[in-house]
Amino acid sequence: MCDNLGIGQNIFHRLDRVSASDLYKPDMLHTIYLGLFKHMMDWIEGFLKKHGRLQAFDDVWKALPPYPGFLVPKKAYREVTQWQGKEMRNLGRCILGVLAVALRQPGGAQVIPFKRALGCVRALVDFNMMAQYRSHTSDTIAYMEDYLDQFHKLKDIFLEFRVTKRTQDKVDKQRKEIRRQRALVIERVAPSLRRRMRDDNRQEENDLCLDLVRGESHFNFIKMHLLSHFCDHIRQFGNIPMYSTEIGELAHKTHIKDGWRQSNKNDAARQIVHSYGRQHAIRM
Amino acid sequence: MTAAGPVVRRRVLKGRREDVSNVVDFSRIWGVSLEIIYRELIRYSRHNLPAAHRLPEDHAMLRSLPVELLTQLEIPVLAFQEADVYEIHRARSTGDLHFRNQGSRNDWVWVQTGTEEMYGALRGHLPAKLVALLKIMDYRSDDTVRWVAGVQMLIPVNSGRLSDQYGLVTVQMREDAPGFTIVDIGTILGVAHLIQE
Repeated sequence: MCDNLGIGQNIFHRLDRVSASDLYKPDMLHTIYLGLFKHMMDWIEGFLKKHGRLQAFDDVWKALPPYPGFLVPKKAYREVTQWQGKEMRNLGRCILGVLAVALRQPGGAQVIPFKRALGCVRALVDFNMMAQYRSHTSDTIAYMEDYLDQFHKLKDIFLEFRVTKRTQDKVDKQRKEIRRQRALVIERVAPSLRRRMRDDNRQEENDLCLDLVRGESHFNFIKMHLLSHFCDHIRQFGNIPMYSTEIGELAHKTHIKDGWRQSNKNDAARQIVHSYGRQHAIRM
Repeated sequence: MTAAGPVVRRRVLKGRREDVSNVVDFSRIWGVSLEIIYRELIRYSRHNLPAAHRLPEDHAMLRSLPVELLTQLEIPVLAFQEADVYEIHRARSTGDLHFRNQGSRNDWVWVQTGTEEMYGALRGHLPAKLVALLKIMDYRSDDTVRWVAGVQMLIPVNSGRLSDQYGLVTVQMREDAPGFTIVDIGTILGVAHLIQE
């Protein structure tokens, strides 16, 4: 089957009693926090910019009150250049409230897009919350599936903000071409009508570009697909957090880096292994 | 033979302020009128304490009760999906004092104010601003110490129903503003995380 799909074989596929498709373990850190949340924040930023709510979002973000286990942001959202997994997890706890406040009092045409955007973010946040459960019932798994369906239904509102460089080039080219053609037409029109025509043209040009962006953009990327395996994985193997690489990454500091610092750098591997074992035994 | 039951964690009050020793000091420092404090203490006493152990209703006697003002309440909150693991929520109420060289802190807390059927999605809980943490010693009743908190209760908009637009519950300050309400420490369930418009 792998050959049909163009996927190469690896050593695990030939092992006895191994199901290669079950080898993948859902990873909260890289799939959700540093994956989907990061993508979602890019879309939200574009959405807020389009509707002129970016400053409001930053203001609310900066004024978040303290809460146990919550790292209060010290900078405005746009001032942060690099996001760690821990910070993205933190973001998941407050993004819905912050966004709801930033999108308050919508204008007439904004009501539906704002509602859809909030619904989409809410579905992803709820899915993430339930994925963190350490024990599940059939009800909680059904909730997760519902949230994921809801997310997929509503995510189209952010489609125009998933523009690749190639699409952007196409849009720029199309815009240039339209303007060139319009300029030729406008030259022949009486000066009194030119302004009105320019306004109409601008609107039409934006609509055409938006159509192109919507036609070219998609949500087909691997991390989006991986979410669909979470529920089945829980049914087969149990809760998601116990497989998350977050624990391994945290342990890298205490198990490896601290041990390396404490060693005399001569045959360090042996010393690192002994160092953590010794400390752990003393702690016990 | 006795079986060990689950460990019950209790609330802890910390950070005593030295500048308050009775209700009058508290009223002066906090800017809450004595009348309001008396009224609220009597209301609290009537609603929460058994008849034999109520606080005096005479203003002169209330004034003479020793009072301690504290700045921190530790609330053990059972961790999600755990039976014996607690998270400690530290609710602070520093009044007008700075907290760690920054602005003062008067945290939001959840207060159990009614039954689960009340206030829609809030299920009987209301958020409130923690204004003061007090220990009141009733020397007439075997030196019983009452742990109470002064809070500013918020009220739910739309009876606590989820907003159509946001899917969240909105709360607001009361307009009739009896700004200061006294509640039992035991009704404070944890720190609330509110996002201000």
